[in-house]
Amino acid sequence: MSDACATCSGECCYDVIVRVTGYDAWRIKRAQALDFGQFLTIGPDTPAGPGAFTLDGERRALYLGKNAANQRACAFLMHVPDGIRRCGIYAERPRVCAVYPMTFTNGSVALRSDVRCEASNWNMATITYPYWRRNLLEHMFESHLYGLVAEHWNRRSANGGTLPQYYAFVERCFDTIDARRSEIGEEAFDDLMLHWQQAIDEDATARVETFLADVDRLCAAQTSTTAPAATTAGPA
Amino acid sequence: MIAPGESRVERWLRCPEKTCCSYYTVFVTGDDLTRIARTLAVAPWTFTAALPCRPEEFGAFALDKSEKRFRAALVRLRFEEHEKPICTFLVRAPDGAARCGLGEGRPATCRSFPAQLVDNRIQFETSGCTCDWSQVPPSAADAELLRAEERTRGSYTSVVATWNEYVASVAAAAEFTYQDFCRYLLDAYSP
Repeated sequence: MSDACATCSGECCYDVIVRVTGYDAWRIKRAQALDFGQFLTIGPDTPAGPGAFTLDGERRALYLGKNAANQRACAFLMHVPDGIRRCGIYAERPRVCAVYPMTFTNGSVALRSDVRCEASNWNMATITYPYWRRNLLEHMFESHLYGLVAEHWNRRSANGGTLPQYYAFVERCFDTIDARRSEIGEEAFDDLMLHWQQAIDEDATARVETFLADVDRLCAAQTSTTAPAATTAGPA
Repeated sequence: MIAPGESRVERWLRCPEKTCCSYYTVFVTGDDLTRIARTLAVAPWTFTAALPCRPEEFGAFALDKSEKRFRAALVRLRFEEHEKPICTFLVRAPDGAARCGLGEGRPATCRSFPAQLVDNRIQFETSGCTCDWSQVPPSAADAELLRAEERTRGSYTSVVATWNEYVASVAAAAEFTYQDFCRYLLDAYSP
């Protein structure tokens, strides 16, 4: 946790709609033993982003649910005494939260222009650039992977099927994608993230293409799998 | 509802009630206290408190030269007037399902709940729990976890004994605060 976040009261966890990827949701589901429907909400794909999926002819996106007692706050915001707030799913928090409040500007790590915390809390001369760069690359790469998953879903059916079917499809896809990621190992996956969109090394570019082709094949295999609609519906 | 073949950890994790997080006072070791403080970047005295106890109890520490002793426990908060005080680290999914906000970083005694070692045999102590544990068998992993917990408790006993000796050795009128004890633990458990 950065020094700036250590002194923060969690402003970024209030009044913000957190759009998540299927990979984020898959990680939270596994770690917290929750069903997707227990912590996700479905909303319009506005503004349009990667991972939009079709349901009932509409383009939709996944969002993190809100606290039942306080619709301003993230459901997973944890209240520690003395007004301190911390993320209650820190290890598996959505990548978009892990990269906050940084972004890439012209290829460099930079503070977002719409940062909700005190910008002066962030000393850009002393932040750990490799840490933020890796988080940003991981966020972008995983968003791309989720985009591939959603594309397969959208191609499968003009209307996209039902929400429980979509959840089941996302779960099966990321079961296989994450297993493939584990097979190649963390170092090789970091190498893919680094060279994705940066064609500076032919061998690395070929490795990225091979991995993405694997993902495409794995997702295609899931589209042909018939899953019962009730697989992930409702709490256990 | 019990899923076939469910392990103790899976059973606990999936429980939507988590009455154990309000029923029990969670006493922590120095290892728990400093790990949570460092993970969350929060001073330990904000989420723990010193509760009076008997001198012979595990982890009993002194704050002066008297016979008074205390144990460190997680703070519990009452979020609603009608609710029981509940662990400060409990979070609820939008549908109300309770989950531990510390995840894998939760105290050792919570990680092993409801398993306990009694005469080197595992027993489930479930008096504060609404779950049905009758179909969940203790596993070898549970036994290993409990033995590791015992080793951690042994280390904490030594760390607390050193503190208590120090408190006993200082000038008669000296008094220490709970924050002093926490700072000592942060130092003793430095990475």
